[in-house]
Amino acid sequence: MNSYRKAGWLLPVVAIILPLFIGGLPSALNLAILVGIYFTVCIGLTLIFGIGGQLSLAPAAFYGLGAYTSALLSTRLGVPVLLGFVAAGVLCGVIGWLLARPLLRLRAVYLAIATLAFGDILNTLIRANSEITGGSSGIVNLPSPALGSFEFNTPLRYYFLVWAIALFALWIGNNIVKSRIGIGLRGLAESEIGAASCGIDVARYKAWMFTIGAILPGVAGGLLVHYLGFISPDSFTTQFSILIVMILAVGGRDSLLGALTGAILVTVLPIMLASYEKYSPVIFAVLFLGSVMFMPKGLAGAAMAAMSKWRRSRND
Amino acid sequence: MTEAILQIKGLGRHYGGVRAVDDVTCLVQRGIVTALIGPNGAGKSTLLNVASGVTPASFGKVVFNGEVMTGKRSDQVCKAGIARTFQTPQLFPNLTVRENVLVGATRRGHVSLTRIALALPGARRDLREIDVDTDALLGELGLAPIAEKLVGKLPFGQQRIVEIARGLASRPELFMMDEPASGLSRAEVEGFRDLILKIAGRGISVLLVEHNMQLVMSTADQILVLDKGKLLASGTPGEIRASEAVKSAYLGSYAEH
Ligand SMILES: Nc1ncnc2c1ncn2[C@@H]1O[C@H](COP(=O)(O)OP(=O)(O)OP(=O)(O)O)[C@@H](O)[C@H]1O
Ligand SMILES: [Mg+2]
Repeated sequence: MNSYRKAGWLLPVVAIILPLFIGGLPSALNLAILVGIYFTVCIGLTLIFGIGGQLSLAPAAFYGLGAYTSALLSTRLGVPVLLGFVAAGVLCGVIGWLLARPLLRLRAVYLAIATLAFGDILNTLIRANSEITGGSSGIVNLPSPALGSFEFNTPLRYYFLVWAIALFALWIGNNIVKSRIGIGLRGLAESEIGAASCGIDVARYKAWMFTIGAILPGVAGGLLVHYLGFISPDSFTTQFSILIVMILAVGGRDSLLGALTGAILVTVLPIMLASYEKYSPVIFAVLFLGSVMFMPKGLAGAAMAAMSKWRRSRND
Repeated sequence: MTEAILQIKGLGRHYGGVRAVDDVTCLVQRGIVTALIGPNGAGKSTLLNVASGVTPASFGKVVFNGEVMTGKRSDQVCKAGIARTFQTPQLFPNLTVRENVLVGATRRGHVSLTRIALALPGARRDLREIDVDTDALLGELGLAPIAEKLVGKLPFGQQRIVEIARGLASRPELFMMDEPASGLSRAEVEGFRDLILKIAGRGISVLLVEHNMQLVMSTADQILVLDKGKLLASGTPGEIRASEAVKSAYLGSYAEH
């Protein structure tokens, strides 16, 4: 518990001083931005899936919905981008809340398929309505977010924007995870009947988490496209949701630290393995299977267990 | 209040053609231990499930403290003041004993999600207060030494006690237990007798479904007998022991035990 609190302070400090080391390396900064964006999405899925046990494959849908919301608002209506991010979060939250109850009545694989279908419907709608969305080719020249006259138009500035949001999301996620609501969520993942008999409104708890799990990818989607400067429906396919689930599996789905570990691994590994690019799907598959089979709590969980074992042996 | 804590009025629960509970009318009195007995398949668990909102009634109603419970969800029934345990424990195996009991306290001191998410003042104080209470409860039930153990790793007898502790954490007025002593050793059953009497001694009304007749006879003030979904008899342990109808339908099958 104590070391966990220390880790909680460590992260913002690392985030602030990291650019001192990588600030001059655009490619490294680029990676750090992507990690922050994926991490934000993962925090949402950790709450609903990792902690609450409901396998939702909706992240891609909300990621796309949020991205198009802020992209369209800024290019078509001239809404300031930061306001567009807020609108993206609000819209995704409202739609998430409305969909949550009917969707979350479904269990396991049925929930996964239904949330996947939701993403497919959205993707099809985006491609079909090309006069508004730009169809398959998307929209280019998206503006950068700005705060007054300060524009987030360099990788370094964008890095700070992304990580400010990611750390805020982490703070909220962590407050929930360690609260009674978080414990109740872990409980209902194991026995809904048992949780309900303790006074937990199971449908409501799930709906809350699904809503947060819609808001965060919504904002993250906006962050992504205004960083890249363009948007197209190709970035919001089923593949993306699978990637997020994989991040949780590899990093550790039952903790926010696991989400971060996974996000770093999945972003950095392909770069490190660039010379073996042909084999990268195989490497990922092996990594995924390996962690599912041998590290049920992911890399972060395995590391924590090893650390407490080491500490115990030192105390003896 | 002298009125019965739980009134069951013409209650029925049919599963297709199976009349699991069929037009049962009875009272559970306040402040005492009431046992609900009957042969396998008599409908005891079904009656508890209907009364606790786990499954809906087909007809009739359940009234708790003057408030109609039928039609409410489980969590609403819990919030009204009824705790329960299950024939097959419905614990959270990968949570610690303390965490299981903490979940049991959900009914008390509700704090909104916004408050918790943004760490507003009420949130931390709430957890601290509940923590203190939980420690006291764990100590009282002898669970303090295993408070940080995962429930799924505990022997079955201890799991049964954790489920009781989780129910007590809600500070119920009525505690319904479904065969809490099944699967326990003889020594553990002795411990359970004391526990049930202690709970009743605190003024909590108990509705105890149980097959172990020694446990029933030594704890119950009132007994309800269910057979094939119908109420066969009700009375004091002495009256039930003397009843010919009960003997032929039910107690006979326990002679060999
Ligand atoms: N969900 C269900 N669907 C169909 N039938 C059910 C269901 N639950 C219970 N029943 C039937 O209802 C009848 C009463 O079952 P119940 O579990 O209430 O009995 P019980 O008195 O608790 O028995 P036991 O002492 O064995 O626990 C049985 O015939 C059972 O098969
Ligand atoms: Mg039963």
